[in-house]
Amino acid sequence: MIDLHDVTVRFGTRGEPALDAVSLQVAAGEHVVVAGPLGAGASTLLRLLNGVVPHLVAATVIGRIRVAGLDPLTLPVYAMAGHVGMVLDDPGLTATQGTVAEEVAFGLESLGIPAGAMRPRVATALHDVGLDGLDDRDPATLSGGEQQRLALASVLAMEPSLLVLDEPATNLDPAGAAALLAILRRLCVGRGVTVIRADRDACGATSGATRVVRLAAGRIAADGPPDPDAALGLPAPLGPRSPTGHVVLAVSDVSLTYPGAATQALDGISLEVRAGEVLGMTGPNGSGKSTLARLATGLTQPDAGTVVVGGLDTRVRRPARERAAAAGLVFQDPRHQLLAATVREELALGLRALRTPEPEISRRTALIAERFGLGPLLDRHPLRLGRATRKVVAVAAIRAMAPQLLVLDEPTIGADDALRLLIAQEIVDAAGEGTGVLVLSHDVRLLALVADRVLVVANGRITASGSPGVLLANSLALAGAEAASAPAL
Amino acid sequence: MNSLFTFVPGTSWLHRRSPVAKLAWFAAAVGIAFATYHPVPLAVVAVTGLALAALSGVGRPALRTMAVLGPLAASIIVLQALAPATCVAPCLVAAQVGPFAIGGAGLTRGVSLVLRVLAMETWAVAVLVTTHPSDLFAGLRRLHVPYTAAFMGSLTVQLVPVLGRELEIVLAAQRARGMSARGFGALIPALRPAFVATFERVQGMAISMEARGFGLAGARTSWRYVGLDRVDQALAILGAVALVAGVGAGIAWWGLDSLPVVVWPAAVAVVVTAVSAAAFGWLLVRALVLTARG
Ligand SMILES: Nc1ncnc2c1ncn2[C@@H]1O[C@H](COP(=O)(O)OP(=O)(O)OP(=O)(O)O)[C@@H](O)[C@H]1O
Ligand SMILES: [Mg+2]
Repeated sequence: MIDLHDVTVRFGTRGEPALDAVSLQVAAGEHVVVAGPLGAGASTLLRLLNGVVPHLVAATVIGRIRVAGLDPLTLPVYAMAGHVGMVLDDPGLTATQGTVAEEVAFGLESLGIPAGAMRPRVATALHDVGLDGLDDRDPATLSGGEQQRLALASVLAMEPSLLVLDEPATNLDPAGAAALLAILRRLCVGRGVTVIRADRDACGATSGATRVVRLAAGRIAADGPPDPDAALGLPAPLGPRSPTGHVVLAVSDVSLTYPGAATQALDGISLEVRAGEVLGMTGPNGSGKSTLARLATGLTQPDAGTVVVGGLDTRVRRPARERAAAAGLVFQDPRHQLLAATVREELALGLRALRTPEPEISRRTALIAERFGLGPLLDRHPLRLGRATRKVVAVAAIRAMAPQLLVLDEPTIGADDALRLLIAQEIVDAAGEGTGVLVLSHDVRLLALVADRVLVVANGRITASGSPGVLLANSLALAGAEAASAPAL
Repeated sequence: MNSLFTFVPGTSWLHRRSPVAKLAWFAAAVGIAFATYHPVPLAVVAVTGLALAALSGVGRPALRTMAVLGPLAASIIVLQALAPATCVAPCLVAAQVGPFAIGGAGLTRGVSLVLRVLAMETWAVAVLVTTHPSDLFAGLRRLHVPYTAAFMGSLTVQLVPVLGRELEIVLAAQRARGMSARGFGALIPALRPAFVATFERVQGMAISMEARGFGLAGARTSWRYVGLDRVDQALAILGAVALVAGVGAGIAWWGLDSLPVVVWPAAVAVVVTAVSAAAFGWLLVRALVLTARG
């Protein structure tokens, strides 16, 4: 199905190649996981398979490639679409239609499927990914995980013989990720579909794969069957704390309904975060985490209930400067947060708004850049960086402002183990300095590392709370509260 | 900002009409607006557009766009009426206020220009706000507009809300960073990142569309079926007739680009110019205040 022979890929003219003399054969019906740290070349490898690299993302490619007997280097990308279904790693970028149903139908229209045959296929694909009932929603209003499910559905509906998925589970809740693996297994075993997917999660998520190809610096470092012992173990917390500070965030009985929505996104949520405490929050896709994050930092207002940050109700109008000094939010989608033309400027932006003196700004920027390993990237454009690195820049930029309350929405999206540990350490350090931290995440291992307490939300309500060890031990049971009511992915 | 020309779901009469019929009438309105400078037919087109929007329950967005265009329109009228450059023979002076001479021809030109913009704007709102972008696209296809052209057309329409949404996101990001995201002061630094983000988004859309076969030869099928019942058929034909008749009349009777000679009563000329000047001045002051504050 896939035959790469001695393939080298270079973006631009300088520097190391992104892929360096890679040869890889994948037979029909295989389920291959491409693993490896950030920047090892997994996304490049995947994007070669239907010619997005080099046709739509400029690059120099040497070597020979055959996919389903075709040469993606000479054929246009659309000509591969009948065979290769590709889901990119940033679902926020890829929706093109006005409604969810049309988004799924788009590929079927290209293939010339008659309207009558389209309807059941669209319905099945939406059902498979757990998006029933959202047919008429504008994709831009979906939650991060819902967007990812939509991207999957719009490719699954086309029934390609090769599925190319770049980090398809990063935005999914544990139940969704498990269900995705079940679908992939069904397609591989039942229909002989070939699957190749990038997954940085070295352990755990390789389940279902028949083969793991490990990349390092653009080369294949290992290739073999998955390690059966690589089960998901929860890491030990990074130093226990017993925070007793004053309350920096008090949310009481907050509700919110989006315009035109049938149900409440938040339905009577109350919680408290103290100075020096790390509160974790997890829950299924669409349960209201990001909505709460925006409320907690005063970016939006609830329909009912109150949000008090640093002793002040967020409804009280304050200068943006004071508000940002009190509460900092790292958005789920890092694309939405980056404003400057260089990473250096990005880190300084908030400090400048806080009217920090210039010398202090350069000192702090340098310090933060070093701690986050951004030193070599200071002069790069933030939007030229990959998704995980963008996220690091966003976290660093907010952390630089040293707010009393730090709210992090999915801080480890696309991160590898090393990056997860770095971000976890920063969270713990922030708490150590007396910051109250609220972390909203599906990343069970991150929460196990940092959280003093974990809340579980489902359908806009808090359904469980307790110590991370107990709650996170069975990550799938976490989603249990929701699994009964929402169709699994 | 992003809701000005975007679809508002609804079940009004206009909502239920076929996009083909709506496009025909929209074409007629635009055709007439370009075929004549005469304020009377232009006013008629603008008022029917507004009435249509109002009857369909989307009068509010139509009025809102007019409010946005208002100061701009006012500035056109003031500049045209007072600037001597527009005074072509026979250079009628409609009124004299102190040192200011209000030129009759300039006033006519200003009012006509504004009406021309309004004629297109009200119809654009009426059509775009009551038609789902996908239906618009399907309608264009039904009119045998080539796929790519129709797609570019509907993409352009959607680009406005995409840009608007990116702008909103950037403003939120600025607020999260403690930058005072309010008024013009915030808008200017927000524009660049919003454009960069829009560019990236459009690129992402292009990749995801091509990867899903956009461009494949062979007949594309369509998810949205655009029906054309009797009423719609009749309306579409009438729209086409209106287009031909309106453009013909514009060219034949009122002259494509020649201004009609309108004799403005002095009082009317003064009132129109004064109101415009006030609106224009308000715009200037507001811009200055906001810039000073930001
Ligand atoms: N602008 C909007 N209009 C309508 N519904 C919305 C809008 N934004 C979010 N929603 C809905 O509100 C619910 C909560 O969304 P939210 O983004 O808070 O979820 P989440 O818990 O962060 O999900 P995820 O894990 O996927 O990030 C979802 O069902 C979502 O579809
Ligand atoms: Mg979220």
